[in-house]
Amino acid sequence: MPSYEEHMQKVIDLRAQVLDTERPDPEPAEVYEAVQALHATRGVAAKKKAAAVPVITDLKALFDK
Amino acid sequence: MDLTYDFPKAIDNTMRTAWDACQRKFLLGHIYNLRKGEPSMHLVFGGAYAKGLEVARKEFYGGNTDKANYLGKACIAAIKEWDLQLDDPLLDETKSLPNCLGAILYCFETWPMVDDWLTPLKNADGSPTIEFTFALPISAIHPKSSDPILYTGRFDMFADFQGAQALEDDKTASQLGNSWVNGWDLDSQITGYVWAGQQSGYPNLKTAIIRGVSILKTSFGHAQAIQYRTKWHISNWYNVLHSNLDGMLKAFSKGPEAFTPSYGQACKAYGGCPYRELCDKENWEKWIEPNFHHYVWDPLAISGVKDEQDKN
Repeated sequence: MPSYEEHMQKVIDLRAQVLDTERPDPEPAEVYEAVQALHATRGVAAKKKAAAVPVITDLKALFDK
Repeated sequence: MDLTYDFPKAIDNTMRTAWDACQRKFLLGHIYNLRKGEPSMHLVFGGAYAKGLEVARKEFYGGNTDKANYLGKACIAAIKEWDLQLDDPLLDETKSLPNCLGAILYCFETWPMVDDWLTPLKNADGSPTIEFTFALPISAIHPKSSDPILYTGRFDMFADFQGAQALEDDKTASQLGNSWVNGWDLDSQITGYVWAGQQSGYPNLKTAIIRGVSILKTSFGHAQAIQYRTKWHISNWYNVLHSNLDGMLKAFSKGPEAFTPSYGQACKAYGGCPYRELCDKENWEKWIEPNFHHYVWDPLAISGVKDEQDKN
């Protein structure tokens, strides 16, 4: 299953295509699905990021080592 | 930089509230038309969001009921609107372009048009009453041209609300809750819109529905406020508007020095007034360049979707 970052990259790529006057606009349905997929994983990515932050619960234990 | 001292031909709610907050801010922003750096992230976000909603509604109420198609078109329109003003779509982590696109989808997931109880009315040509501007003459007279000054704004939608006429206005916000809902009770923008609607062919208009989507770091939220304006509210607002205009015109006739700075809450509200660094100098005119440039505030441009920070 693609990650939040991969969905973000897809949206950024579609944006580049929209703004590129040499290329036709992407299909609306493709843009819709990419944005929907990105936001379906937004909260998941943020929770993972928060969980990855180390929390020092016992400062003394660090100095005892 | 040459500063042109001229009174605006049109006044909108943003200008009136700028005057109300600080006369110097009105002078710098709406008489000298100075703006600092890039456009406000909040305004760019709001403009792209408004464009997306407009396109989705026009597509759907114009007969395109393919959800992926009309929402995809809405996102493409929002991308184009955003790019006109800011290059970097990810400059702000929360108010980013991807979140703007997500907020458009969220709005129509929350209030799906297929069974929305708020539906647009029809113009004479049969098109839905979505996104149109107004510019209505008021009693104040322009000091140079002697033409009536115009009161301007932009409606998001005129709608049928349980058999009555209502206007719908879309907002984005960083926070929604009771204070957001109740905060519209006396809001001059809404009262001005109801007045303008009554002058524009909807004499029975009394109701405004404000739909807000909040943009949070990991999610979106929503709230809705239903507002009513009586004849008294409108008459009072009209008198206040003219009282404010009277003050603006008197100050204008005396010259720039008559626009006194607030030196108070307006200087620090919403992250700080952009003109604070000028007010802090003895000869502020010499400090305009290179940080400020000349622009003309267009009250009819799409920028109506605002949150509390946009009132800068």
